[in-house]
Amino acid sequence: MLPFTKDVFFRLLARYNADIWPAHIAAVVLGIVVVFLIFKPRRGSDKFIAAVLAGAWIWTGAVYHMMYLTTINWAAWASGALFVCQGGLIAWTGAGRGRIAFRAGSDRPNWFGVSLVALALLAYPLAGPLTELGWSRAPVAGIASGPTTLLTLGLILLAEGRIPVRLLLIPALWTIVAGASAWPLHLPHALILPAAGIVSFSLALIGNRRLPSNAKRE
Amino acid sequence: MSRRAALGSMGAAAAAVLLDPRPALAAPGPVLEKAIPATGELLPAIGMGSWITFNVGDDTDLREARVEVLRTFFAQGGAVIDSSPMYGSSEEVIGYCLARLENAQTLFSATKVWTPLQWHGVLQMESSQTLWGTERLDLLQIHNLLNWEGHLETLLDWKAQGRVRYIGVTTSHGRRHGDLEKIMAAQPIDFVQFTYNVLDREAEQRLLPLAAERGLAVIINRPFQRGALFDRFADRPLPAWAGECGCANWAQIFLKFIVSHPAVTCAIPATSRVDHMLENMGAARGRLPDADMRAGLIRYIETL
Ligand SMILES: NC(=O)c1ccc[n+]([C@@H]2O[C@H](COP(=O)([O-])OP(=O)(O)OC[C@H]3O[C@@H](n4cnc5c(N)ncnc54)[C@H](OP(=O)(O)O)[C@@H]3O)[C@@H](O)[C@H]2O)c1
Repeated sequence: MLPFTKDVFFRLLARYNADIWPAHIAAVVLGIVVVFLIFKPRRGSDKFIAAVLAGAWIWTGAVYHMMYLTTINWAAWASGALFVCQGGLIAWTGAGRGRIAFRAGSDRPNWFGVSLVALALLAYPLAGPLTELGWSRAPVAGIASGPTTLLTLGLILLAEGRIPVRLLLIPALWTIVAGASAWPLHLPHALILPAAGIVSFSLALIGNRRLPSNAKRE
Repeated sequence: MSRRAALGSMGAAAAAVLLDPRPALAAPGPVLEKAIPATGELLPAIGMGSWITFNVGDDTDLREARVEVLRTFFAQGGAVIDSSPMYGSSEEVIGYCLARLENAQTLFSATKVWTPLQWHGVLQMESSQTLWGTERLDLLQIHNLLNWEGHLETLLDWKAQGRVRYIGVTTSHGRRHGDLEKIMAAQPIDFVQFTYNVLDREAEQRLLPLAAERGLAVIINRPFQRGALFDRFADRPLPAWAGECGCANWAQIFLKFIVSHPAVTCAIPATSRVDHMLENMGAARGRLPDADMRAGLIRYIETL
């Protein structure tokens, strides 16, 4: 059970969005660049994508969860810490050690991964005005937890070779927590997020079983 | 023993309902008060909870709206406010409101300690005191029996030092009633808090009689079953005795049912709205239902 009402939560989302404006523009531009790079990779683009993703998790954890959500929910200290950890993991694996190559391909996990990226970058924020959230609370990937999680699931599924499942653990866990939180608020995210988390995790495990354990990533 | 006789004998042992005119208050008529058995101190029978309703974070508009809710509460003769460190920003928001009110002199502050760690409990209680902005908290309760042995030691120490006036234990889960009963029977506490309302009446069997026998003040949480009672009954006609007891709405029926139990000291409905606060505080005035009316209400709602 949530310790706050829908009204209080929605006002908090609106205030967060208003306070950080125009960070949304930067997030959308970075999102477009990421999409371009998964289709047309360049030198260093994989490290760049990982850095963007890591930054999104660290921002969302440190700013949204720890600075805003904690004012109405003490548990947001824990979720914020999880987000920052995930950011650190992606930064270490992808941006630091360059262990992930993000490629949009045509096999099944890739198709699903690309769909999740599209859902996160386009459908999620555009659905804002179609749901009770409205424009003022529209969730944008990179600065809001839901679409950042979906974007991450999608991009990690695009990893070449074996999918780094450890990078999916926190996002998949978060889809369940966020889904359970959205349920009492009667938001469609309650179903979309956990479904995306479960399918992504399953596809990653199935995909990895088909590949030898030492399959090269790049 | 008949229901009426049982209620009568508990009534003799427990707090008496007294009528106390409060000339300083704007609201009409005397406020129903009940005595804390340990000291005889009188408390208005309707207090206020703060789970969810006062957790508005640092949203200034919503904080100001809660100032008005509390202003109404005190203007209507309210005193007992219940909170907990578990309730997000509620304690901080209560402190914000109290600092802006000129009519909060009757405040009876009741909060809780909620942590598995005894040393952390001390920090939590000190922090609560700062958040409420009061010199001394009136009642400190162990929330949901969490590490009650450890916290009870601290609370007894604080009470001996005069840092808190009363101490108690709370739960809202039927499955913890057995544990609560053991604490009530054996430990030197002043207050106990649990759930009781027209639908959840398990407390009538053992907890309420035991509280009366042990001379414990009883605070009732979830008096509206978290609002679910309104979803079920709000559009149904009020019971026959509503007019006789001065009840104009279901909120007052639900609350008067609770506080008319002789072992109950006060009920703590939570609300975020001034109009609901007015309705709720309306239950602190006028006649209380007698045992026959109470039994009639149960029969009536069972037919709905
Ligand atoms: N273990 C524990 O220690 C424990 C456990 C549970 C509760 N508690 C305490 O007990 C307090 C009361 O319990 P609760 O808050 O769970 O539930 P409650 O008081 O039974 O119900 C609160 C709900 O009733 C609605 N309401 C209030 N007055 C109303 C009216 N006149 N007409 C229609 N709706 C009305 C409120 O909505 P509006 O805001 O719209 O009025 C709110 O949604 C808590 O706030 C807390 O302080 C303690």
